[in-house]
Formats: sequence, C-alpha cells, structure tokens
Amino acid sequence: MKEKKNNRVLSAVGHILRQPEVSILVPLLVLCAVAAILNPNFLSRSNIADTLNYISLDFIIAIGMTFTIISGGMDLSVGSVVALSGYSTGLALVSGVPTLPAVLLGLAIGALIGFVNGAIIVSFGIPPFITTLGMMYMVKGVVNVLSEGRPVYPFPDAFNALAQTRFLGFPAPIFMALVLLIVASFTLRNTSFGRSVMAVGGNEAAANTSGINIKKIKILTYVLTAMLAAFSGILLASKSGTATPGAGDGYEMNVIAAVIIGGTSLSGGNGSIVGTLIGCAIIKVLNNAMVILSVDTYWQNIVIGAIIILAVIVDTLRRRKMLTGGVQKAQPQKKQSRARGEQNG
Amino acid sequence: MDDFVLEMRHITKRFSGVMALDDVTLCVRRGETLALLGENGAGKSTLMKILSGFYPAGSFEGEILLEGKKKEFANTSQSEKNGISMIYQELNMHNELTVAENLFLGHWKKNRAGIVDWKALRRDARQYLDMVGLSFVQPSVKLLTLNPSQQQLVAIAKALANHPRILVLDEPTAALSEEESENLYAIIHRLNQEGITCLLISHKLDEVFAHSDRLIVMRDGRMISEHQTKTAQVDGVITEMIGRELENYYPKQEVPLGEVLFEAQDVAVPYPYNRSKNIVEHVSFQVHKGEIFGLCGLVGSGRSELVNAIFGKLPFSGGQFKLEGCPYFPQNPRKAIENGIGLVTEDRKADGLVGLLNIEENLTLSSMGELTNALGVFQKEKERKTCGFYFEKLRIKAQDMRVRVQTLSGGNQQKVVLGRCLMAHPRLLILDEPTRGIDIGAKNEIYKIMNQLVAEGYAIIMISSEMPELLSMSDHLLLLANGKSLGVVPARQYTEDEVMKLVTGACTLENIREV
Repeated sequence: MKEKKNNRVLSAVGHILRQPEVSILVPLLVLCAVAAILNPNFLSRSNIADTLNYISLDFIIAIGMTFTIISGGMDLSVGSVVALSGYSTGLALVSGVPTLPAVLLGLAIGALIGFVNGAIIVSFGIPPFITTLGMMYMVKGVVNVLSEGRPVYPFPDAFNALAQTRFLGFPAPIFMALVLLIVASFTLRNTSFGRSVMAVGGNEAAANTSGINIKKIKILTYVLTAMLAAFSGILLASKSGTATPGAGDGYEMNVIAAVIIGGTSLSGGNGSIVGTLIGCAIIKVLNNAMVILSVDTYWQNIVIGAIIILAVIVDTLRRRKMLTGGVQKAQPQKKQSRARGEQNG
Repeated sequence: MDDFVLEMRHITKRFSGVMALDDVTLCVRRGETLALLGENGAGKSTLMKILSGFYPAGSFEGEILLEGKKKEFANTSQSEKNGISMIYQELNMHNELTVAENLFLGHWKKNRAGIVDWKALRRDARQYLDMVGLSFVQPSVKLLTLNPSQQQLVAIAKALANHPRILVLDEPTAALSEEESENLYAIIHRLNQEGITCLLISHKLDEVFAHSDRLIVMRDGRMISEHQTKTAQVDGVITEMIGRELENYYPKQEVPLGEVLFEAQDVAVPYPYNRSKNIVEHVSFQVHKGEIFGLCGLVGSGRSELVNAIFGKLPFSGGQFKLEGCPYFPQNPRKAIENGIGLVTEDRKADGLVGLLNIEENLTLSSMGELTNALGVFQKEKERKTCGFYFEKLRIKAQDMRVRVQTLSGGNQQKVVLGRCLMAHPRLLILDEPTRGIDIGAKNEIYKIMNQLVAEGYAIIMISSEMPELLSMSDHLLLLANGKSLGVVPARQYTEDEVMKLVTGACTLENIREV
C-alpha cells in the first residue's frame, strides 16, 4: 500500500518534472536559495536589479538564437555583432548623428550581417556553424579596424537614457526584455513564421513538401538573431556610457548555452522562449552567486562548462524517452509483474 | 537424403502486431540457385534480413540451421563469419572510400605493426574485381567515381571477398545493363559449380526463369509453393504471386469522368542522382476530373520520380505538363501547391510529417496563408474549425488534435498527411503508396476516402506496388517498364497476371494476347 502511494506521488512529481520549463525552474530556484542563504546580499535590491539587467541583455540575444536553433541552425557571430553595432552606433553619436538614426544604423548593420549569414547558408548549403564562425571573425576584424582598439564616448544623455532610465527602481532593459519575451513567445506559438521555424527544424524535407519557403524562413531567423544582438549591443553601450571594441566577447557561447539549458534541442524542431529566459537566468545567477561568494573566476568557468554538458545530457535523455514513449510506458508494468512473481516464489 | 546447406524452420516475425512472416520454412541445397519470388511486401526481404542477422536471434520465432547445426546470429557480422554474404537492394557502401577499402571494410589486412597493408589490400582487391568483370577499375579510386552498375558489381565483389557459402542477392540486376546482368549470372553459375549456394530475389521474371534451379513463391508472409524452374510455368507462378480473395476488399465506386484536368506530354524525368540519364522517357497521359489514375510499374521504374517532377521536387528533362489546358511548369512544391496539386509522399516519416508537431499543427502546414491574418497570426477559431473538419472527415483516431503525430499509428499518420494536402484545396491529388505499412482496416478507410474525393470532383494519381489495389481502384493505368511508358490502358482491360507480365518485360502490349 505504502509503495503504491509512493509510486503515485512519484509519478505525479515525475509528470511535473517532465515539463521542460519546470524542470529547469527548480534548479534555478535552488540556486537562488543557496546563494541567498550563503550571502544575504544576493537578495539586496541593487543586486537583484543588477542581475536582472545582465540577464535581460543576454536574453534579448538568446531570443533570436532560440529561433535559429529551433530552425536547425546556429549563430556564432552574435558576440561580434554586439561589438560592431554598439561601436558603430557610438561612432555615429560622437560624430553628431542624433540618437534615433544612430540606433537605427546599429540595427541595420545587424540586419545586414544576419542577412549575409542566412544567404550564404541557404545558397551554398554551407553548415551554419562554419558560416557564422567565419562571420564572427570578419565582424570582429571590422570592429578592430574601425576602433584601433580605442573605445568611443561620451554619448548624449538621450542615448544614455535608453538603458539607464529606471522604472520602479529597475533599469529599462528589464522591461524591454519582458515585452520581447511576450512578443517572441507569441510569435513562436501563434504565427505562421513560428510554426514554419518549428517545421523546418523538425523535418526540413516535410516542410519543403508542405510548401514552406525554407530559404526565406532560415534567412529570417538569422536576420532576427543578428538584429536582436545589435539591439543588445546598443543597450550595452548605453548602459555603460561607452562603446568598447571588446564588448560582446564570448557572448555567443553564453547565449547558446542558455538556449540549450533552457530546453531547446540542438537538433532543432522544438524549444521554448521561457525556457531560454530561465537558461539565461541560471547562467547569470550562477555567475553572480560565485562572484558574491568570491569564487575564483577560473572555477566559475569550470562550473558553467559542467552545467552546459549536464543540460545536453538531460536533453538527450528526454529525447530518447520521447522516441520510445510507448515502450517506456509498458516497462513499469513488466517490472511490477516481475516483482510480484518474486514475491510469490 | 538431401544435402541441405541451410534450413530456416518455422520462422515467424511480427512488426508491432503486423505479421511479416508466418511460419515460413526454407530449405536450401548446396550449390543451387534458389529464387524467391513474390510481390513487394511478401516477406522476401524480411526473411533474408533474418538470415543475415539484421534482425537478431530472439526478435523472431523459429530456428536457423547451417549444415544441420543450429545457429543464432546476434548481428550481421556473426552471420558473415558463418559464410553468409548479403547484397542488399540499397547499397551499403561508402562513397568517399576507395574501391579496395570498401571491398574489405572491417577486415583490412594488417602487418605485424598493426598498420594496414595497403599493397596487399590492393592486390587482393584486384583479384575480386577481375572476378566480377571489373578488370578496368583501379582498386585505389574512390567508389563515387564509379557509375551505379559498377558500384553494384563492386558490392558483389565485396560479398565474394567474404568467401561465402551462401550468397544472397536482393535485386542484383536492378541497376545493371543486359550485358552486365548476363556477366553476373555467369559468375553465379561458376559459384554454384564451386559449391556456393545463391539465394536470388528479383522482380525480373525472365532472368529468374533463365538462371535459377528452383523457385519459391511467397505471398503475405507465407510460403505458397515450390517449383523446379525447368518445369515451372510463368503464368502459374504469377498467379501464385498475386492470387488472393478480392471480393469487396476494394470498394471502388464508378464516378463519371469529367473534363481533362491534367496532361503530361512526352515527359522525361532524369535519375535523381544522375541528371544526365533519364529514368523514364516518352510519358504521355491525361487525368480527368473524378478519375483515379494509376501509375503501374516496379520499384525503380521511375513512378515516384515522375510524380515528384509533377510536384516540383525534381526537375524534368523534357516534354511539358498542362493543367486545365494551360501550360504548367512546376518549379518547387510551393508553386505546385499554389497550382492546386497535392502530394502524399511515399515515405511519410521522411518527408510527409513533422513528428514533433501535433496533429493540428501538421494539418495547417500547407495552408498557413489562409489561416492567418495579415500579420501572420493564426486565427484560432478558424484554425480549430478547419482542422477539426478534416480531423472528423478523415476519422483520425486520436484523443484530440494536440497529440504529437509521431505517437500515432501509421494509418492515422497517413490521414494527417492527406488532411494537410486536402486543406490546401488541391484539384489534383497525388498519392504515392498511400497504403504502405498500414493495416487492412486503415487501408479500407483510405480507399473510401479516395472514392469520396473523386466523387467531389478531385482527380487522383495513385502509385502503388500492390497490384490488386492499383487495378481495383484505378480507372486508367499508365504502364511503366524498363524506363519507358508502355501507354495508358483502362484498368479493367488486363488481369493482374497480364499487367505483371507487361511491367516485368515478360511480354509487350502487342503480343500479350497471343501467349
């Protein structure tokens, strides 16, 4: 009797845990709790606002990356786009261009890079990994040529206000990220673009047979990703009041890791924007907690790396379960009957 | 006492409930060539895959005896070690490796230091290449530089390199020219004399009758009959291959034919992987409203390539198509769908469905423009209503439309693909093997849906490897044999035997009634 009850509880818990978003929300909450217990400063208003701000800047890029990865692609050039867009917007600002055109310039540069990425990938059939790796180096190179290693500043107040304005004590990027979260989730689930992205990533041949314009969809995901990266780069410049050529270094890995931790599968076809948000949060909270606990930076890298691998292992196991869903259901019964047989014997 | 080199006793194999082999017993004598005959899906290939260890011991019932000794193969390499070599329909070789590397894949000769002895490898390769008549091929060239028939011969050389006692050839001459085929059968005769047994699966009846010692006919997973080739009658064997109770199994309803909807004029379609050569040529036909038009030919006759060309998935290399009298150039599937053509593909898992999406999402994939507003946002009510209509109409069996399609049965998956095509309002519906791999009940439902559709004025082009289904459901048949169109005939004009003779090239339209 007791065993039966336990089983029911376990299966209920199992069911909840099987929801991809919930299963990563739990570790996030545990992480926050541990950090808060070890250092009460973690829950201070300023630390929360700061952490959320950083999460938002990552998350804005990760939204686009989620679409790209769901469609079966990958974009390694986002970090360089953050740098180039932030820097060229900064250059425009210091040479007297008003805020709005300068921001639009940064976004347009991002869109152009995304379009080139996508166009190369669909026209020549070159793997996204290679194409965007090349683009990452090229864009980074352009930034270094433009900047010769020097940051640009100061910016007009109107531009700085973009990321520095506070509502209810929280910086503006948090609210922008919230709006984007809602729009992106809705787009993924309720529009023909979102459904096409999932179809292309889930089964490209079937999507083609269904009459979906695969090339267009793929190019759009890269444009979207690069534009959001550009937006994040502009916010970063506004937040710090300066555009540095080193901005965005290593972002691509953080962002991809966040998307994977968030439950979007690297092989495409399915994923979740909310999951990606939680993934970004896990990485940033972990970073923040380790800083607060003054853990060595090198150790931080080791922990993040381990978590990425863990997330992929979980993803793989979940996928295997999905594929053999029917078989797995039958197994517990077998075990039970075997157990009963043993009892009888 | 017979000298049986191989006995397969009481073999039964099920695939998730479907009986693929039902108590089959096969005894093979040393040094003979035994031909296995049967329609597609009769169980020949399954039986051979059991022999090769592809389906390991334990996944089927029954036993395998080699020279009287019971054997259990856990995998294909165990069966190879016991002297059983397979040449599959689909080539199982690596294009990027050299011919020599392919020949000895898995057991490359090594010297004392554990390094591959390339010289010996190439020398041995030379010997086996000569055996199959490929003396002009260098062992060191990459496999992909050879043409399909040469690759087929390399596959045979590879099988010989294992020094087999039993050699299984599944459609070995499908890609070979007549001369190459003759050469291959000469090799087989020589192997027989050396005591090597050959099991031959082939659709080409003329070859089978010319080159085998004994025939075994299979149908629906059962052994039907056994003949000495010398005394066997072609007609009798064909009847045994296809014979089954028809009755009301195929609920064909006669629908008066309307005007011509689709027309193909002297169309040629190239091989998908070799654009310079045509797989079918000189194909002309008309499809009327209210008609089910059957494409009849063996696997590899170009049926699928032809319909894929109509749907814009493959290019066509000659001729033209007309839709309601207007020229129609299929560029890609999107354009085809816009022109009112729907394709239910041969392999729904490969290019029919997105397994991770649910039923409703899959149904909408071809008609998203219609179900969304100007911003591309789905109109929920319309979406649910439209999908619900086809969900009901096709009687898809699932809890609701939120079920992922990969968890559905084959028949229900097929209905989802069909529903997706119908939702895009096609005028012409192409069904490539619409009942493959689904159970009898679901097949019957698909036939009824087809009846309903033509009654509503749709035109249907159907491909099927199941002769009875094709003959019973179609109004007209296009006969394809040896890469050529034999022409269009009324479906009821010929019997299954006659159609089989025509598409296997055993006779022609001119002399069929004389025989």
